[in-house]
Amino acid sequence: MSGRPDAGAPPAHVAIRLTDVVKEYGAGPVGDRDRRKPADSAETPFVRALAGVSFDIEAGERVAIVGPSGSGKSTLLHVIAGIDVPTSGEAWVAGRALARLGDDALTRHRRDAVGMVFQSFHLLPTLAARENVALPALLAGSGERAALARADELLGEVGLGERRRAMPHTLSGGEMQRVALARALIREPRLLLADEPTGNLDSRASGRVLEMIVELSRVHGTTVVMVTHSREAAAMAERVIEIRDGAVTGDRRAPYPTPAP
Amino acid sequence: MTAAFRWIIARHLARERLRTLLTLAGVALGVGVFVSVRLASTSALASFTDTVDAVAGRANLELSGGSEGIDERAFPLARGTAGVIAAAPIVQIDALARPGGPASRRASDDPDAMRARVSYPDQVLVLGVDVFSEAAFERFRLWGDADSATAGAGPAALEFLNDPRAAAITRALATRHGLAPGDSLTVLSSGLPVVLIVRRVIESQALQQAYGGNVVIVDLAAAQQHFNRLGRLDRIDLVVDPARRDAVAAELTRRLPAGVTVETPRGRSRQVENMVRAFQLNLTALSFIALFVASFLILNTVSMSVTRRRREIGIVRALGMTRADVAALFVSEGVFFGVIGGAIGLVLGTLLARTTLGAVSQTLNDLYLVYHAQTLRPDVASYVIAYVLGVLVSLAAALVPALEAAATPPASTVRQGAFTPPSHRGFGRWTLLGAMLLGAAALVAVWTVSTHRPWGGFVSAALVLAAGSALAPGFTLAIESAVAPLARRLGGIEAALATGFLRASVARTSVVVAALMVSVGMWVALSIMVGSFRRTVDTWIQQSVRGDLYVEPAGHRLNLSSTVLSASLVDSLRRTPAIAAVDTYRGSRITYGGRPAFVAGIDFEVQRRFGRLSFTRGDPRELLARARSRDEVIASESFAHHHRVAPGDSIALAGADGRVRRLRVAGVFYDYSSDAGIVMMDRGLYARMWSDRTESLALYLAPGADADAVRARLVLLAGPDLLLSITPNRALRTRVLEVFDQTFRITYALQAIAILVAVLGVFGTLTALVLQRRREIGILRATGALRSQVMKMVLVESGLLGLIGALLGAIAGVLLALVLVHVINTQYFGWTIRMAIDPWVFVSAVFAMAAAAMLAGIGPARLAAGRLAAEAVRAE
Repeated sequence: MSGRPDAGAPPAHVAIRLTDVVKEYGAGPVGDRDRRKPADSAETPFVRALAGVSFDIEAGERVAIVGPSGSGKSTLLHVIAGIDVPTSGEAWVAGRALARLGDDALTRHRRDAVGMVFQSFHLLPTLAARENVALPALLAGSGERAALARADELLGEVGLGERRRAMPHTLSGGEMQRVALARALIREPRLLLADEPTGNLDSRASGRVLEMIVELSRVHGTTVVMVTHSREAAAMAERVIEIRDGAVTGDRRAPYPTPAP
Repeated sequence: MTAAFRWIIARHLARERLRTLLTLAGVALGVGVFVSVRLASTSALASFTDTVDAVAGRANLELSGGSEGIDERAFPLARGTAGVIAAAPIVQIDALARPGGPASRRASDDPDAMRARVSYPDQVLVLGVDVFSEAAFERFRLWGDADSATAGAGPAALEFLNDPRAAAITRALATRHGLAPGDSLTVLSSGLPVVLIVRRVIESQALQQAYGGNVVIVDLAAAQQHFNRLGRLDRIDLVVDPARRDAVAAELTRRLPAGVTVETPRGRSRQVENMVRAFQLNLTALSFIALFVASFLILNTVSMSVTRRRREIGIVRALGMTRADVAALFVSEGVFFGVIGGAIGLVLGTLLARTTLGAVSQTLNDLYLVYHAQTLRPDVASYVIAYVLGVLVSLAAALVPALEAAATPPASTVRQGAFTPPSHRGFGRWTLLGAMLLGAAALVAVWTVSTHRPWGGFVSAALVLAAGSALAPGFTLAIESAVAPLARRLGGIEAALATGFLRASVARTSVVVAALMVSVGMWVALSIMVGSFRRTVDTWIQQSVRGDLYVEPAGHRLNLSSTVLSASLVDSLRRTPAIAAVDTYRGSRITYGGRPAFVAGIDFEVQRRFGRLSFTRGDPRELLARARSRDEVIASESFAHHHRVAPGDSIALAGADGRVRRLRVAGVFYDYSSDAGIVMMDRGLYARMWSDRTESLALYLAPGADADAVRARLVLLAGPDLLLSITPNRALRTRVLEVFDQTFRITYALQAIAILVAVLGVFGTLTALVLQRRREIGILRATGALRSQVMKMVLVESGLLGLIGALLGAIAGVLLALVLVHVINTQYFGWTIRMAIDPWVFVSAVFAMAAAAMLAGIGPARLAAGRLAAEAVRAE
């Protein structure tokens, strides 16, 4: 951790700036000296998931990241979320250079600045819907009652007010993803990251989830970065970044060219 | 954190009810055993201390003279010393008692001395007091006194004692036997029953607790008469100016004969505490084993919980839970087990304590002649210590898996399809650590023996167990590799799958192996130690107990000092043609180097001709002849160890006349009767130093003599009043071994509980492993594995676990046995035990453990083959 924490920071209107970000599995991450090595780093054979990715995302922008399976989309999202640490290069997210953050600061970044929606929902099976939603607030130190009240509100907003006490295994895929969305929003993050949010949903449910995400970014000015395979999902974005073999191969403003039927 | 605990940990615990309950049961047993042993040993000692305090009354200094007592001429000397405010002479006798008149003599001339207990069911403390000296001590509050206290009523209150048969007894004793003033009570301390008439009931509260409430007061002169204490006092109690106590004590020491000890009543309690400390410490260390084994159970439960919830941990990490919070969460899971299991353990321990107290105080009574306490006195300190220990052990056990959980990177589990492959990394490091710990254990053992620091033995034993635990993963892999081909050949595909599963989950199963290792290791070690010890003692008795008949007055064992067999009886026996030789025995309790010890006088000439005392070195016959002719003594191994005495050294003993004699130690003999230590001298020297009384006899019969005829003659010679217990050689040996077995019975009980805890671990771990492998088992079932095949697979795995744990335990057990026999025993008790290993110990431990583990595997096997598999197949 050298120099001032904000040295080299991008201007305030840039929510995300990636500069030459490389992520290799099987090699130590940047900042290894002050962070514990992930347990899997020595287990996994050497793979270059990101091969020097650079771009800026403006605050309030709605961006879709597309590309074939194994192209590095999810890794890219995990780097932005602070779940994965780049091997080299620099990632500025919400005003912070992630490589310079220690584990606790990185955890706080995930908790306070980022809301994350996963393809397979990742709800805790032992917690009811409202408790799953309230969990990040609780982790950030909110009182239980306040956190649950806010969770109930959010579940109402995503149309699950009636199902707030349901356990995850009783929810449909679309409902689970809406719970996950509500969970991502409870800390009112500046940045919403969604990894294939409609990947496990039927078309009706995915339409509903996508509408909500667009609505959110319009009303609150939340920056949205969404990894997706789906044309429908990409169509909701203002900008589409295409990734192939860990490198950016396309970056264009919407509308995304829909091939002729 | 509380909501996080409730949401993330508590619900999981509730879902995994069986496993939670098993772990709680393990902790409860661990804490329960610990607290029960502690309560029992503190109760046994508290009972002694309370008796001392209650009997001391206001006395703040006391004079005593070992079991030979003090010459009563010392009393005026003590009373006249400047600073002494009041003095009271006391004769104190431990005796058997029965309500009503004496028992018919049939019961007590039974060969087994213990039968006297049947007709004399109570043990009482008889105090002979001087009516005129008591007022200042305020210890006997009597029923019916005008102002209810001896202090107020003055000497008049105890005037009724002028009748030599009169006695006052405690309310507790009176109530127990329905005794009222005018009833009779018979006491027996040296073969002669003494019938006393109850005149008053003592109401003093403290005395209702002292000696289990069994206190009898008689007149001093009457006590001296009844109990062969003419001219002797057991104690002189003093009230001295508290400000000048030390100066007064110094002055008393100067004025009184050398054999008289000046100490505070507390000091006397402390001496007994010191004497039994080694015994207590060893018992406490053993009682900790179950809790130690339970810690593996917690380690495993938390570890399993971490493994099964790796994905959830990844999620909460991704959602913003810090490493420290994750660690704290899983540590709190361990603490939960400590807090709840510990609380249940305290209740369980209290329930167990009554049984434990019986065993512990029986042993203290057998080995150290400490009064057999019957009342449990739960003390706060024991509960607090056990509880805190339970919680700390649980916390420590959860620490490793908690840190492992905290190290979970958020990325690895939220990434699609991520799974953690079985890792055998770090096993080499564990093995290296294990080897280093073994080396350290050996170094500490050598250091302990060379520097005489007994506690080092426990450190060494703990290091052996730690080494075994560290070696468990490597050992498990090694044995698995070794037996896998054979298992496959014998057990088919199911065994092949079982060994594969075992290998894949070795990080978990090795914790169970470690738990099994600890319990089996302790079991094997104790079996070897106790077996070797028993064999050593047996050989010793066979060698040293050579007399054909052993004779002592009934009740003698309670009260070494007051028994006397008349000289005419001894002479008559010597003249009996059927008796080749008579060895007379007399003994006394003394304080040597601040520790209680025994001194005894026997006939060295008879011993030389007929006995077989075994010495550490030198020819016994020459040694005894030389000792007899030169007034030298022989010391037991324990005495030599505690006081660092070797043959050729001198020890200083003060006789009854107060003269200190320096006596050369001719030899050191093997003796396992008490670890307090004993010094033996020829009866001639003993008579010159103390008294020429005889307490008990060993009769050597002439060849061809009829033992029954000799017995009959003996009873005839003794006369109708004297109750003798006559024990044939064989019965005495049996009795010694019975005492020995009784001493170690509790040890085995503690071990059995530790093994039970370990087996709970096998059950819990297998259940968890089966649940974890739901998917694999489902695939197996889907691809055609029969229910019976799945069951067989799980049973082979559990049997293998038991086998591996038992094998490692057997190795650790031998090392522990070496530490127990050659370090702990020699350093604490000074006993030489000839180590003998019975191969049956290993065979039984290994087979029993493999079988127990397999039994524990039945539940998980049925789970794997039943409902679970069906669910898994549907899920696939």
